[in-house]
Amino acid sequence: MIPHALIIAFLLPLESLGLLFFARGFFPYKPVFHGYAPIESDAPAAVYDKVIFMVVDALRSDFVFSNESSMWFTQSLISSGNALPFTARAAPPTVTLPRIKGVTTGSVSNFLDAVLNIAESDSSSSLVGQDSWLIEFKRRPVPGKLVMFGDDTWLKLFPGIFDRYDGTSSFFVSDFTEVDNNVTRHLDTELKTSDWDVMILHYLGVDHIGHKGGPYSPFMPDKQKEMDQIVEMLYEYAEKLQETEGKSTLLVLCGDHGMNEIGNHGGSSAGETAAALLFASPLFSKLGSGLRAPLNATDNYEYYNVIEQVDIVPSISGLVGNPFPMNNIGVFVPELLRFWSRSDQIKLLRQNAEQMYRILKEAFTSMDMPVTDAQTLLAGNDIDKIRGLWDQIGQPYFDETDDPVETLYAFLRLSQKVLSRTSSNYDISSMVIGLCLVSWLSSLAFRRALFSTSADFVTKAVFAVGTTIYAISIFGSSLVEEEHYFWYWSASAWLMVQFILSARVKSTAAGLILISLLGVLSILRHYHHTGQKYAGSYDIAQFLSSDIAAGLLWGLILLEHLLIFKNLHFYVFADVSPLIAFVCSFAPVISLFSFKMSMALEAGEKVPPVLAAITPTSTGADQLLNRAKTSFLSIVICMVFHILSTVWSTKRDQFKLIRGTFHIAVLLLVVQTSSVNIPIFLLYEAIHSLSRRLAADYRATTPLAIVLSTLIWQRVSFFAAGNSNSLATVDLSNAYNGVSGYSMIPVGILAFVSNFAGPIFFTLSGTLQLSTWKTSSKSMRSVEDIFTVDFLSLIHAFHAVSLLAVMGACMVLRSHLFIWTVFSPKLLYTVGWFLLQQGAVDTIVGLFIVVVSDLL
Amino acid sequence: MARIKSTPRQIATPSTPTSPTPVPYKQKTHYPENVITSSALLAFPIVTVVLSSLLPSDPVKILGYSLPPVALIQAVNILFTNPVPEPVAKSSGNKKKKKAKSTVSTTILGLVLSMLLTPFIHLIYVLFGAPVTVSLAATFLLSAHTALLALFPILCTYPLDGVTWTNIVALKAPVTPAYTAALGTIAGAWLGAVPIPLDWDREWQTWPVTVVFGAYVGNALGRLFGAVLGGKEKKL
Repeated sequence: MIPHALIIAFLLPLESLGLLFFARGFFPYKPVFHGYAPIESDAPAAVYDKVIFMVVDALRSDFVFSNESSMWFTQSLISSGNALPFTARAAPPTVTLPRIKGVTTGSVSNFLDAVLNIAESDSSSSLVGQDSWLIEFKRRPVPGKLVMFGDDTWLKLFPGIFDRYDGTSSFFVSDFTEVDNNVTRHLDTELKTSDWDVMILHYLGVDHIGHKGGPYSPFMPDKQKEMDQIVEMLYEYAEKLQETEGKSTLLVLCGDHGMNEIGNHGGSSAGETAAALLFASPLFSKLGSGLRAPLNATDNYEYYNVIEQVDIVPSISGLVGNPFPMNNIGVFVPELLRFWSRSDQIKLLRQNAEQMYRILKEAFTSMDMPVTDAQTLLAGNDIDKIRGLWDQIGQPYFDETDDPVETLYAFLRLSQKVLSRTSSNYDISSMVIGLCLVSWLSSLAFRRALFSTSADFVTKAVFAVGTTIYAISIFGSSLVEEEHYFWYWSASAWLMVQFILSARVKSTAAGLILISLLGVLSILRHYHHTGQKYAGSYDIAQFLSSDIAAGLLWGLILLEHLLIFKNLHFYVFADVSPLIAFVCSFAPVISLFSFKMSMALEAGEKVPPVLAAITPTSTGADQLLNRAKTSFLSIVICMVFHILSTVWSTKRDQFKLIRGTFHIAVLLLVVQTSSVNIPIFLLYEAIHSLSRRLAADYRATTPLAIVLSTLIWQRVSFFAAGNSNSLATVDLSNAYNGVSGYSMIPVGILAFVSNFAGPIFFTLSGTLQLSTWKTSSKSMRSVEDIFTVDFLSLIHAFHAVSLLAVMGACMVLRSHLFIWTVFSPKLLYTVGWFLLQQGAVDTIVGLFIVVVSDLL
Repeated sequence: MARIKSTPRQIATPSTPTSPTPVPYKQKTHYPENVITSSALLAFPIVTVVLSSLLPSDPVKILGYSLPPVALIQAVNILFTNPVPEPVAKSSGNKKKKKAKSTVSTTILGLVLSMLLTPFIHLIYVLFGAPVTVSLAATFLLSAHTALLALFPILCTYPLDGVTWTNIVALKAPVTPAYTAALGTIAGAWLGAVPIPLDWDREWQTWPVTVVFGAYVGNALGRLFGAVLGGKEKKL
């Protein structure tokens, strides 16, 4: 029936297979030791009996150390010498799960952990069987007692290890107070009981405030004060315990990662990787640090000494007298060595070095080769240098050499650097197979798009040139980070090309439409300033979410709802009696509105009092869940009604079904959009109706031109909604709408819909424009021909070529500095575009129309 | 003056898309005419180099100070070297014979008009993504330069009527150096925006340095292209 659709059905799975091969080879498998470190018989004596490990999510260095911080007590600890401050560099991906893995096992997480963090899969991310400084407490002759309060990621990572715990979920990033009170309420009893050896606290409030209002949110100073008071409480506890029972307690305060200028994290900018780290205890005063706090705020967020975040692991292990975890690549923090005598210092560092050498031997076979000439090795590459240094350390009189500590540190630091790099683990052959497969298939797809589609020289030329430029741009790291500029730039160029074409056919109406579209585009490009370079600069979204604009924001939201109401009334319920039509279209809109309203209230957003008064006051998460479910249900009912009424309708109308579906889909997309982004839909709707008018002017446009516009608007809307190619902008705040617990498929779909709302909108809008063109031009071309040949093959070809380009960039630049921070996230996004947007949404919608028009 | 006023403004009348209205032009056919033309061709590359070397330090100041000299160069250029396609006397009673070059009055009027249209160009820049709230002066001066480079010569070259200007937009007007220079300016300015988002952290990546540079280079290339290509009854 559909030969062209069959070609897509042949290309898509094969391309996915190529992608699978590539991903298998590209995402590195790092050798992970299972099992535990051998007990050291000769370890230096422990300094501390107890550890309080206080993680404050997204605690950036300046939140504690700069003069803009409100953590005055903590700063006074630094000034009085009772605390040692550091800036701990967190390795990207800067999201919670891989970072907790980092600060417990001491290993550099592999990139897939970032994906698992989003997937929150229960079993795959657990650290059962992997060594960590927590497990080491359990392995003591008398197993230590561990308690944990806060983010439930810890419970997923360490199932069954905690003696007492209370996990809080971070589903609702809009909750600033409850998440932290849930942690703090345990402190009174726990500090009184005091039978534990390790207490882990993980506070989420700072992170939530950051996500909602950025690092300079008005909520931030109070939250910092709250955290400061907790530090004070814990420190006083440590002091008292020291005096009364002589037990020493180490208090570690750290952020798992930082945040960027708009409060997101996941990427690798200076702010995201600079986490605060503070070791505090009354014992530190005898080390005499001589540091002062606060310091003046700096742009690079580097305060005091900068160390790697994984260095926390050997430091804690050493201070409490446990062996270093097996997979640790952290280096013992030099400042903390001063607790021990010189010989103990060497002993400790030697253990650190031996432990790291075990990993080196696993990773590099050349480690085992006998050393003949240490001096030439020292002048060689990093691996040779490590071997040379190891040889020196192994010499019998090493302890009596000039500076054994210095040599050990040189060894440790170099090993750390080498082991953090992952480039040695690519499976190149698998990558090449994938790349060859995709390049063959995408060239087929590209040829088809240029030669099998309908005649339209200008569009094809623009498409070919544009796709080529895009493919080339992917090889530049900053062009990936700032991809939105490419799309705004090409959107304006494409509108201009169409403007010239409209002048050639002397269509003033088309010209005016195109100028209006340019106007809408220029609003869209300022809606969210995304990317890296200008991220966080003032934009429309920031204005709308400020308190003074609350009235305007909700006015616009109301307007969008009225528009949806009108469209439902007009396109879905047109055939029923006016009263029923009114009720039927009003019900889903009002349930949507009350859901968005209560979500905003829950999030502490400012809502105009008039509107807040008419919605029933929200009563927490359960209420929100029910409202979301009501919205989804009403969408399903609308859809069922629409399908039935189309089937039973006596009028033959090929496109009625898709028209109604489009407007019902908008309802769903708005459910999945945060309140500040809902006004964007007014702009989308403007583009949609302008484009349909343009499509009705069949002389000024062609099916291929409509498809190319669809491709461009999809990308423009994706970036205008605040997305980027960094994992930091993945928005999960709507991924749990109507879902009470984590289950992968619904949450995955909801997350996809909320992040790709714009592209989905324009897929449907594009198909409607094509149907308008078909109707107005009275073209003899079949629907099947337009949708499977022009629509599907052009879109497919673009995505196939861009997939090839991204894979090529990851292949060629695999040893590039930014491979894990820029190109790997880009690959993930491209997989999302290719498989979900193109492979699922675009293809299904296209084929759906063909099948339906066949049936009707 | 006479040229601009002589033809009444016509509204573009819709016609069939396949047969564009032929434009009745006859053209002088000798370029590069003389030494002045070739020296004019040289003038802009020099201006480009001078401007682009000074620009990153203080864009607003440099753009402001360079505006009068650029206007002067353009005016001289137009007065002495700008070939004007001559309309064939039509039946509408337009009898006066025109000179084949811009007159002083046309040039002055063109200059005034292009300066008056600067806010309009500013608006176009904003539509194409120029900053809205910041760098207002820089964008405005950029628009003024663009007006001088692109608009001023074609205002002095083509009659101000709807059909002609629709043809200009539709890339169907007869080719003159003024026209190709304007197209080059637009393309250059558009391409000039490319390096701005790159993370090279150079001083010249600030708005609107690269766009000014692109506009000038595009203008010079376009003018050269027009001088080589033009002279016949050619259309793009």
